[in-house]
Amino acid sequence: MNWVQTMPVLRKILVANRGEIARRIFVTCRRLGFSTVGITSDVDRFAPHLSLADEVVQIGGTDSQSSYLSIDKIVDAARKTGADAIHPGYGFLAENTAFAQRCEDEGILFIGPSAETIRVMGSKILSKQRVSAFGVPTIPGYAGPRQDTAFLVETIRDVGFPCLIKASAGGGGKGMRRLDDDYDLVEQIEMSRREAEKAFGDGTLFIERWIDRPRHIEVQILGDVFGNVVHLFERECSIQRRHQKIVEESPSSALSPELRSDICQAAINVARSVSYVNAGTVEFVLAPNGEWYFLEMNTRLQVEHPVTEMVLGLDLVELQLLVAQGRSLADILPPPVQRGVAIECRLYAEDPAVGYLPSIGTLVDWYIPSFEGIRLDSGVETGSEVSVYYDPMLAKLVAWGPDRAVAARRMATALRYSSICGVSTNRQLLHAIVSHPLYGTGEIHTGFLEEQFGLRPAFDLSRQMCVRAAILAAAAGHQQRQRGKQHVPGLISGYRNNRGVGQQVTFLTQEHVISLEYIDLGAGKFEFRVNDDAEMRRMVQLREAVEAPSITEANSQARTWSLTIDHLTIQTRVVITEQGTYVRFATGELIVLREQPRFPEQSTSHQLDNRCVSPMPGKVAQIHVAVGQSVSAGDLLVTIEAMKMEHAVRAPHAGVVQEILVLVSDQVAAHQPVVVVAEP
Amino acid sequence: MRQPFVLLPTSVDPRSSVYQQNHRKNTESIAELTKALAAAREGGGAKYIERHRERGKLLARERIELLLDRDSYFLELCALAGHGIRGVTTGAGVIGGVGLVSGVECLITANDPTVKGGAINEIALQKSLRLGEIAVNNHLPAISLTESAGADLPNQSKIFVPGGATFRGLTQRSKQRVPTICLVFGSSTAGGAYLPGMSDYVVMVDKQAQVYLAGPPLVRMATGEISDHEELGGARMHSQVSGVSDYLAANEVDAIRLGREIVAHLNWKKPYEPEPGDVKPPLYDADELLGIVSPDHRIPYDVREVIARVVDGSRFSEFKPLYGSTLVCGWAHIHGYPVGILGNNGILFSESANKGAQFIALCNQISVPLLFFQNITGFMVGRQYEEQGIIKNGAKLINAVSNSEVPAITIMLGASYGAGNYGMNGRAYQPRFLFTWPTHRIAVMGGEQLAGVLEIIQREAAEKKGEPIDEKQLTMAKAMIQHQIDQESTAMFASARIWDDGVIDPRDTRTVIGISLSAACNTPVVGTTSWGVFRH
Repeated sequence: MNWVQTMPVLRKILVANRGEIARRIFVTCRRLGFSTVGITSDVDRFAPHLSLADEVVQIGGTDSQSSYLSIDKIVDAARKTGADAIHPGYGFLAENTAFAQRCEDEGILFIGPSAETIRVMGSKILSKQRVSAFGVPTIPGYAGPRQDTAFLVETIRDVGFPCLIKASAGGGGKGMRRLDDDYDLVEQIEMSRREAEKAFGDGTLFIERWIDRPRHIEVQILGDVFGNVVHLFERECSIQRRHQKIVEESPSSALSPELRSDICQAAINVARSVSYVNAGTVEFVLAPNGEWYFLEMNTRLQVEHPVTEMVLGLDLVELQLLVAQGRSLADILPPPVQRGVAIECRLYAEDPAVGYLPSIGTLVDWYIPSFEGIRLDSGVETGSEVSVYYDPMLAKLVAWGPDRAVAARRMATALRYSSICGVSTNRQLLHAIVSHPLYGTGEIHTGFLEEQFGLRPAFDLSRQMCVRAAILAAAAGHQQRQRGKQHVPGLISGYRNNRGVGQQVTFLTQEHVISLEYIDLGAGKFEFRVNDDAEMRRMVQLREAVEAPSITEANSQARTWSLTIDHLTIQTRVVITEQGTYVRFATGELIVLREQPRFPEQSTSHQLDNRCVSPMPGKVAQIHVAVGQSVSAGDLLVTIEAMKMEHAVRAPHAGVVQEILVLVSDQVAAHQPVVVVAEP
Repeated sequence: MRQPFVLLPTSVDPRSSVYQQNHRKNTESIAELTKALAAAREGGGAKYIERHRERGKLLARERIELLLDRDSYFLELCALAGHGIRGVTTGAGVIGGVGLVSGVECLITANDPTVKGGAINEIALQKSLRLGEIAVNNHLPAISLTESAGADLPNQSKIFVPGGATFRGLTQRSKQRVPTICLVFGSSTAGGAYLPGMSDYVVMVDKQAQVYLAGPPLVRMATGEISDHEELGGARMHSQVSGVSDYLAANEVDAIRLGREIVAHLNWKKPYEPEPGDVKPPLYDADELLGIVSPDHRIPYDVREVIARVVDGSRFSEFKPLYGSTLVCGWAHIHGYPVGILGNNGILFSESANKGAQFIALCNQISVPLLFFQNITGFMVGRQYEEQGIIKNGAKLINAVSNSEVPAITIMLGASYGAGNYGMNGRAYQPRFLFTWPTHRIAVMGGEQLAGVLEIIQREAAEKKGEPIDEKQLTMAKAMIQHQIDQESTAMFASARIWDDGVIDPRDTRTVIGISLSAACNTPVVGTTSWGVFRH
């Protein structure tokens, strides 16, 4: 066959990404017999995904700019290792025209569409023009070259509120803002522009009308070099927080067969408009009245591609590699058939209760159960550090079921059993979403999350639950200490021949202070008293139990206990660390308890009210005030950039800026004072 | 298998009426003990506790609880000192015991300032001296939590002279490499100032500790100098200027933390610890001890039933089982520690005394600690036994007990009468620890016997003088003396006078022995082969 000679020779693939997607690509490469090359920044050197690569090039750098966004370093790594192709994954350089072009120029196969396609679809303005010509409807708004703030303010007022500002080059919600009114308009535009510049190197913004209660429908397409374009059906990604998808599913419960056929055909047309090759996603917005519009096309593998894979039984990375080698879709892809329903949840290291503030730290437990239909795409393991430098997504949990109800139930169960400790996560929120009755009916839209859970979804733990957790923490801590006991180890602990009090221990949870007293009765039995309920004696028994099978590696620090308090037994998982005790009940609650030290460290200083502190570790992006300047309460003082987001430090009260304690680009720690505002 | 010793059988029938009756009576005496211990915990009573708390201070027992490692045991010693003695509260205003601090077995003592400001009376002094003796004999670092008004002045005559031994003891312990740590929470003045003064480490609590030879009034009287407490003996002055204090603590909790920190640096290593391994508890329930042991000492029981409820796995390797059967001897383990056990199974005869002496020598030869289960009404009397030399054979046992150099622990199970007390390692023979069961009786002889002896002597005297006996008066006198002797031979009476280190719940015997053995093993366990001359 003569096509063999014209086909690019593909032996070694460099994956220009990190975390779960790098791992996922390595796995397919390995299965298909390709050699693999990983790259790593200084931060990721010991990340678990790298153990799946044959070779790893340490390209250095800490933040994205100096590592995974550095075209020179990556091309250099490919040359050094003799890689003949680069898979960009998603994010970073996946939709970077310059990078795709550079690969073309260097003779390295870029696994994705052409640089030209990326350029066109990367511009919201160009892409809309192009698809309109193919008869695909687009949303009213402005997508043009004029970018001066005054003009944009004017345009926004013309399109009317509510409306959206978006980064022309971006996706994933970066630089995107919804505006409800005139308030702070200039600042909002400028913040979007800065975020867009930082994230995509292009500050071009566009404006579009806000559609109320829309659903986000996207279609997976695949094109080959022979001009074949097929669709792999839709995904629905309407569950979003701050314009970022967190729960995705396929198929969408909103599409009738006719509508599905129309939208999928439109997606094919969009792809045709740029002679699309490789995998891509065409995003649409579906209004409650059934109208739908083209939103944008993502010229890469999407984060949420696993739901398509689960429903169609395909490996999209494999298909990408095959079409990149010049294979015809007609040869490699039988007509796909949707089977069952798949739901994906994105597990983030963040705290929904404080506005999804990213959370950093060490994962002291990373346990995801292995049930039927459950798939985990993860880039972390127990012991992983979640840093400020990259996106805080930890993993994607996917559940498949013969129907939507089964898939949702499996997802809920997997989330309930999961134990993720050391950073705050959105696990409980995801659990609440997939268990929500409205979610169950399929009546969702992109505002669903905020509408049902608010801007800061919080899950208050009952005091009773915290007391249980404290009892468990005390008993489990006791059992751990007993293992290393010296001097008469067989003796019952805390023995008193003159019986006065039991062992006292106080735990702090986020909301409660729980003081306990316990007496060891031997063989895992205890008598507990909860101090504010001193009359109540609780008989407690702790038995070592067996954890449900897991997808994740075993954690030697974690213990699975069966806890009986009086007559109720609960299965639990406990991890005891220096920082605290993490308790996960099989009913889903995860409670972090800090033991009040018996001997408090002498406090040397106390927080002064007029010091304004950084909300989290990060880098000083901008200082908005000068010493001596008068400020009002709520005025923006400093912008801290962390986890690729901007965080405002605002004046707590009116006054005069007395001292600025940082410089632009300084790294700051959480709670580090940055500005002192003297009260007038 | 670690110890191929024989599993002791039991013949206890918990359904029998004797068992039930014993259990009931023993439970009653334990309730009495519990009540007495509760009195010890009350210290100076609610009013003074309240007053102490109002000053923001921790109670003595709270200080101890905080000083101890979490989950550590605390074996309180001489808790009933002064119990029932006029003018002395139960515990005598001093709390003492053995517990773990920073992983080290320490002897902890604390003044209870709610009891007459922590003033030292005669019993308190005796108790303190005994606690000091325990520290030195067992090589236990000692931590004293000091807050004392000093000598109980009206009773100074009973304490001034012997009290000097306290300070001599401190420095001698220091010389013997047994560190002493003094945490000063309040007043420690005059003679009391030598308590920190003679300790190896001193921590003083800021704005609370007052340490001086003479307070401001006395100084003013003596020299006319006007000063205040802080200048004269405050924690800052002693930490910054005089050097009497080594560490300045911000508050009480900080002082306790510092005390723990000091112990942590002592580099303490025990010369002997049992092999780590699975220690098997006894096969039989300790609660059955209450049904086995009759509170009436005239009713015998097999001491092996007690041994079976104390030793690891109820396994016992008996020595000379067919000889001198009234003294059961043999080897066992308790919490992994090897022990040689001597237990009375009746009165001592020549054979049993000889067997005991031989057994003690054997245990010394192989450096195994001794455990005495004492329940003895005495050595056998009578012409035949005197002829067989019961005195010289008893003397052999007392010789062996006196000169033995392995650690020994004595548990007084029941009777302790006459020279039996000596042969079975009574208080005067300095066992490392000595505990009693609540139904224990101790005297030169039983009240009934003593009254009977007095009656015989009186009748003989009257007969000699040819005077008639006033039967009524004699009966009354007999009853009175019997009552008095019975009262003065109870476990509580003995414990109040520090004839023991505490009265324990029989069910805790194994635990108490385990703690005591472990504490005792802070000294090297090395037996002797040299003895006093045996009369053969």
